[in-house]
Amino acid sequence: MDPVKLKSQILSILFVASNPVSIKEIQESLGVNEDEIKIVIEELVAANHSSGIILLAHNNKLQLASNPDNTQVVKKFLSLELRERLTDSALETLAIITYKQPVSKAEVENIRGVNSQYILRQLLIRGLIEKIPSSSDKRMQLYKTTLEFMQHLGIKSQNELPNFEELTKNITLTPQAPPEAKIEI
Amino acid sequence: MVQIKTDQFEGPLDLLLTLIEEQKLDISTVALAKVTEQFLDYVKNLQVKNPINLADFLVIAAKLLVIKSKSLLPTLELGDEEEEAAFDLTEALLQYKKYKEVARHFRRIELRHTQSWTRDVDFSDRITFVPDPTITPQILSQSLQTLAMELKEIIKFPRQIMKEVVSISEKIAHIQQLISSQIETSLASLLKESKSKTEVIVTFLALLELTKQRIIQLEQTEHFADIIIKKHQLHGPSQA
Repeated sequence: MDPVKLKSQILSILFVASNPVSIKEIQESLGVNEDEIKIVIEELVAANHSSGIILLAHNNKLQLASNPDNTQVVKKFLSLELRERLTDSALETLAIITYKQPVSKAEVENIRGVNSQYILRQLLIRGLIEKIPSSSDKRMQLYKTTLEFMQHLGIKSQNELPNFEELTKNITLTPQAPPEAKIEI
Repeated sequence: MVQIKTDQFEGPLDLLLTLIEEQKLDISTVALAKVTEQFLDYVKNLQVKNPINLADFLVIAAKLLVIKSKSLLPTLELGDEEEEAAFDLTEALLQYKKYKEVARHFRRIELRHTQSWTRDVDFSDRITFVPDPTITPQILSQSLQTLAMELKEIIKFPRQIMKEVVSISEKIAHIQQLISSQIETSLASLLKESKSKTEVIVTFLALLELTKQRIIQLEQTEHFADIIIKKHQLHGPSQA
């Protein structure tokens, strides 16, 4: 299909659906193949910076949202308060889920070194993460971040989140200096 | 020794990381051996204050003890498995520190105070306050004072009622006295004296109690007729 027309159709669908729409649902409605849709979506996301309405895309789900650059005016218009700030443990858990997703509770707890049942439930209730059944073991639940999470942080695309390796490159184990090294200094 | 405030750690790894960083050490087995004692002190406190996460702390404490023993007695043979598990702690700490760094970055993003909204924003959540244009701070202050005065009255109110309440034992004594001086009385005349609904109820309860104790007896000639209250006959002649 003509990309311009496809873009227009996708946006119309997303506009009328206020909830997140999966790429699969769009594919079924439009009868276009997934790759074609993904290319168009990438273009739309790239144009987010200049538009009042942005396309949030994450985990094959799509949703239209207001541009976070306009936070102040939207807030004023709707007389809304900003969402409550997250606690340290919430951010810590989100950090793990963001870069490890989909991730199991056991893995989260292993990294944090502490039982995380409660905090995971809090995040689920706030809609910042969601549960999906593991593809390898149906009894196991895995956690992913949601579009709501992007809205909360006011990020326009996943690219705005830094690369994990880049962000943590300075955190390394310092090799144990051999005893003679001290004498040299 | 460094004083550790309790309850502010996300978990044992958070505590360890803080202890090491407070002493300006890098993450290493040497550093871990150094802070073992402080870690154990903290866990001792935890046992009393917050036993819920104790197990998580004990797992790490055990690993620390292996590291500490090894640093004191390098020749000590603890078995490969134990040693490996303990020395993995530096890796675990490093990994945890990385995610803490990511969390810090997320906080920075959060503090930009930007946010986006979707169309499902609930308009009913709007906080709207549209004051009358004639309202001035003086008027607001006045009405607040008036309200405060009225509230004061309301708060005082129950206290005054409390004073008037008649207890059942007082009522019982009163009725007993009446009957011994008048031989008989009636419910209607008793209720006539009542100043409030509560007193009516108390009078009634007192009568029930006196009847139960067979001190008085009640007589009613027909439905809805007045109830006559007399001394119980068994008591009557003997006590008179």
